[in-house]
Amino acid sequence: MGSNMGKLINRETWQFITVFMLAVLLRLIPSLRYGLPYGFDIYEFTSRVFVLNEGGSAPLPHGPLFYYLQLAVLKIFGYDAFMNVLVFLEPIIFTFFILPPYFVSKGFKTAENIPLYTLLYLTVLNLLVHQIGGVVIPEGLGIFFFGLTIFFVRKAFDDWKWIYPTMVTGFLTAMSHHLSVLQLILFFTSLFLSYSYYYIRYEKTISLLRMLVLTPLATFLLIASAVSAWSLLGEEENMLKLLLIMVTRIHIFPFILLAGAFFFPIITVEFAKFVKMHGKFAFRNVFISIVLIGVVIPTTLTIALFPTALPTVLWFTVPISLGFLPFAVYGIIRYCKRTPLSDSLFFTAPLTLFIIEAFLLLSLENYSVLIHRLPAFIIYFATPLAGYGLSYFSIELNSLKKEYLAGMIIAYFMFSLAATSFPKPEYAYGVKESISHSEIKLAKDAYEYSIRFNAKIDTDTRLGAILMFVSSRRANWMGNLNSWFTPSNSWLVNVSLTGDPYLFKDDVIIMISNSMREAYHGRVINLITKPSGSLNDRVISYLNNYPGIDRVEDVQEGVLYMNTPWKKLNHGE
Amino acid sequence: MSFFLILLFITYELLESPNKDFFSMKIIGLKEDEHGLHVILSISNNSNEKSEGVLLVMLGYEDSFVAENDKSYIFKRFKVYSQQVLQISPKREENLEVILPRDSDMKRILIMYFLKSDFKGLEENSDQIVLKKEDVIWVQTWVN
Repeated sequence: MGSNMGKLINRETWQFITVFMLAVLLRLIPSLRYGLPYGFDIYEFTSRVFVLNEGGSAPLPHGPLFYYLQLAVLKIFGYDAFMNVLVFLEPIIFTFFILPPYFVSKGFKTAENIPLYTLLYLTVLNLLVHQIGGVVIPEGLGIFFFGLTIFFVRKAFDDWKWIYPTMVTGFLTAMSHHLSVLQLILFFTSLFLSYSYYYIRYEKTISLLRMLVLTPLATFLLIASAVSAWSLLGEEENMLKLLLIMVTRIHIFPFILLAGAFFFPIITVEFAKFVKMHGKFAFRNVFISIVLIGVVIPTTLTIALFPTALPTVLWFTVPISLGFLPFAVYGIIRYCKRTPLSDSLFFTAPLTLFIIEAFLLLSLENYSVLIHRLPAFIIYFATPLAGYGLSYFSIELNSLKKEYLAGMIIAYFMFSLAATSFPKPEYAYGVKESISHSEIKLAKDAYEYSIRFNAKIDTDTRLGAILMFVSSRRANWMGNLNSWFTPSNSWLVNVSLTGDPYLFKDDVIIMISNSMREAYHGRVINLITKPSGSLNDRVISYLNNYPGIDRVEDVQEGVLYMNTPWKKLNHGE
Repeated sequence: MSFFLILLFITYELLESPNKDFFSMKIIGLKEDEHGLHVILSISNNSNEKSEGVLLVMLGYEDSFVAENDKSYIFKRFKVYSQQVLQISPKREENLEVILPRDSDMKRILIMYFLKSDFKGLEENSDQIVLKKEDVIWVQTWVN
């Protein structure tokens, strides 16, 4: 008996290690492919770390923790080792940030649950591979503390002492990432509302009362921490403040909030009750309904309303709608049936609020940047339920033939989820995430030219991030990093929108790369609140042929242009 | 099965890694004196292999034109002033000076480094040079 148990534990450990190694390998793909940090945001964030390292001050809009942890690595190891840590070690460290939902799943008190399935989802889900470890950004750290807080809150259900680590990780979430803390505030709010109704109406237990004390306390702490972080460390660039400004512009928003606070708990509690009481939910019906809802409706709406987004929508949603959503919904149903209502509310209430929030924010104009961020939080939170759904589904298969068939289909689903983690520009609104060595050289040289010619540099947000990185934020970049709403005066942005080139000033260096060009499915990346397009062949032809515009550098993937640079310099000399 | 499919995907992604090597060329100075125009260039070989290519200096007049698409550059109606084989050691940056006589009709000077040693020049009965983008880097400056 003891020996069999030992073998089982041993087997589970090896399975865990194998799946986790796969998670590490998937997240290391960009580092091994490019040998550079992946995604352009990290260059911009690192530029702030360089400023701190030089004793200066820079806004830290996400919260200070990520930046100061990077600064510690830079101070301890020096620049070269810091870059290697950033490229190769941090994606591995970030992979550990997928673990909190796995431990939540391990805490399920349902016999049929297989936590390894939750880990498998956390390993392969495209949005999670990308956001946690694929790119090294404050969001990864924020999502980790978000997950850890949820894990501790579940523990606090049974034992009051877990309130302390809950407060600590909640505070660390606020110090790490603005959007993560918003999600956590929503999580606590949803629990408070639903549990209040449930406590008053149905069940007065000590654990529920504990939740009713913990949730407003935690919400207050999170709001206070988040507000202090944004007011001290980068008010102008803080996404949380931006979201607040956005929603306050909706005049009926206070009424939506009031109505939501009243109806939300009733809907969540009564719906969970209905699912618990209702008869049979067969997996086949759930699968067909979810595929219809998850694929057909978004595809039809996208074609009708925003056809250019179709490749992106298909790229991400089809694998998620086939491989994840049906199992998550099936897991929710089964979990509601198998556990006390207060336990199932722990998942269904926040999930409902997260989905409402995602619809509300994504419906606002120009905030498509959140299109992958909000679903990443929802998916991260729902993985234990998807793992539970998959566990229940596998147990229900009653013949070897069915097991083989289902096994093959699920293997394909998992593969399609993993294989869509790092989209090419044509599947990501024209955003090329990888940076090349030649583009870094181009940015360095643009900075040197700008000093020599006393010129500004006009480039997009992607190459602008590199420019900030190579110059420790000293470059005179015409991109508008600090203002969400001031109109951009960039030549590149203007011509990318109109397609009509015009002569630019002679104190400007135009830095372009293939990633901005229509011919390469790229676009001029602008701030999320401002529109932009791609550079067409007419613009390129203008730059190559308009008398006076010198092509001063070519690095194969990018070019620098200036208007009569030498005339001014030689006259100056 | 999932595991092996994903491992296969990872292997494919790594085998298909983009080339990290690249060449670059920039103009670092332009002066005019009694000998003519001096264009000072810097060409760098950011690969691990020695490069042997052809440096071409081309002169553009009123009707010269450069077109490009995602695959090629097309240099129309340029006059090839000089061409020479140029070797650059790996991870090295070479500075060069090109001196050109004054020519009042000339509008632009286009200097390219063709990354292979077998440059064929202008095709017969044609006034244009078509080159694959991955085979060439070029810069230009306008005069007069």
